[in-house]
Amino acid sequence: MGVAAIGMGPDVLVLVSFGFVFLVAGATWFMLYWLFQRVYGRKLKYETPVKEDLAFCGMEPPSEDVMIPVTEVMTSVLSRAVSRWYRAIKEGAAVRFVQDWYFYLIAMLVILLSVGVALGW
Amino acid sequence: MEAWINTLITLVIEALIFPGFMFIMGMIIFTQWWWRKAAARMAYRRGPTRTGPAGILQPLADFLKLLAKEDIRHSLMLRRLPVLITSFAVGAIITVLLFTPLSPVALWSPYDIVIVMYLLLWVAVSIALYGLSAPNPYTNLGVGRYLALLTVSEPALFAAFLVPTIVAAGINPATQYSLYWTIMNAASLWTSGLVNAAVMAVAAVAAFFAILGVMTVKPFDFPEAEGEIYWGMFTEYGGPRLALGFFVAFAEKIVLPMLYVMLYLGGAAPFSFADNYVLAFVAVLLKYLAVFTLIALIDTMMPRYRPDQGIRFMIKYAITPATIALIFAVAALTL
Repeated sequence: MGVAAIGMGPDVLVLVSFGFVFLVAGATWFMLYWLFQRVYGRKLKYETPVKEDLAFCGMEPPSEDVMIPVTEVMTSVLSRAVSRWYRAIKEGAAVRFVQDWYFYLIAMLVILLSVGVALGW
Repeated sequence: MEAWINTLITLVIEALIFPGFMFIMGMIIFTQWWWRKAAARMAYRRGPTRTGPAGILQPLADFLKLLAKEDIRHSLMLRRLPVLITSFAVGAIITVLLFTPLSPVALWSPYDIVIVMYLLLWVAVSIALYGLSAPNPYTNLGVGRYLALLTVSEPALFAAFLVPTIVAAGINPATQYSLYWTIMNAASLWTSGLVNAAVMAVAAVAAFFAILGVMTVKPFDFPEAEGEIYWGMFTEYGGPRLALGFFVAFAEKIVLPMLYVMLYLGGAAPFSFADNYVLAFVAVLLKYLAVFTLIALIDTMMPRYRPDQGIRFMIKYAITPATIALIFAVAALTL
């Protein structure tokens, strides 16, 4: 016994795969969430204000003001990871490159040459 | 018309049962038990023993316990998005398997590797959005770290996964950059010349590190970082919402190593999906289990990187080799 493969165009395959994503998503939601909530969830409701609080490990629940912006965390992690490049680019961009027309000309030349080589001019 | 309907029914059964939803669920239960047993052995413990033979049903019991709990939301948490987004992420990761020969009736098209990458990225972005749907200072820290990790590990994974498809297209242009046909030709990727073997070796190393990063396995588990930022992206979750989040994360731990096995470790070799599906499937499963055990042991042995250390490691040992392998694979194809 072997396998069979159904070939189709990429555009059709995108549509078909989206159909299957929706199908499996529906099955997941129905079997793992809706069904369990219908069978068990409704019997388990109990009223306590604590469950509305943020799980802040026993401390006072913080307000939205103390939330750390995700983008700030992300950029700080990335800038620390490549601190040498980050510093060089930041300082360089501020004092050297941005002020320097030769830099733009060289950059343009490099781009033109790269495009030229890639297209086989 | 009748043949078309039969094919559609077969595909729906594949998506919902094998190698789709039910298969992944069974694999999650088995692999989580295996992972816990392997980790326990490393720490001179016994691991799960009580539920089922040798404790094999413990992950199922844990999963059912979470699912059957009350669905609790705190005041800042989004109401429906976490459930919807995790359901769609499960759909996306399971649909990837329909593009592989693990599906007795598979789907393919030229350049379908791009669709596969899109679906894999969908899962990673869903996990980030899932975390963002339940704000908390620690959750935000976790999501920020996770996004930073994704910016380096996802491009590395994509570049590394492109390499076998390009090498396969060089050997046999009829593969047309399709995941399905690349896997069907996986055994020949290493044996078709020195350059191809070298390119595959470099890409295999890069892909392995990239997979560890995408799955946030130690030493790259700083987005969760238990004990440091509580549980990162999962801090605020409990009950069925946590169960769904776990389902996505664990499904990723099955599909990504399985793709790695099929692309880099010769697919079903020494058997072939075209000749004997059962033996080929068993071969893939055994190789997967070996890779999964290695990942579980790495997770148990390794300490955690700091976020900047982890990202620097990814740039050095995942992005750079993956890009070099990609450039050489393209050069070998065009020259």
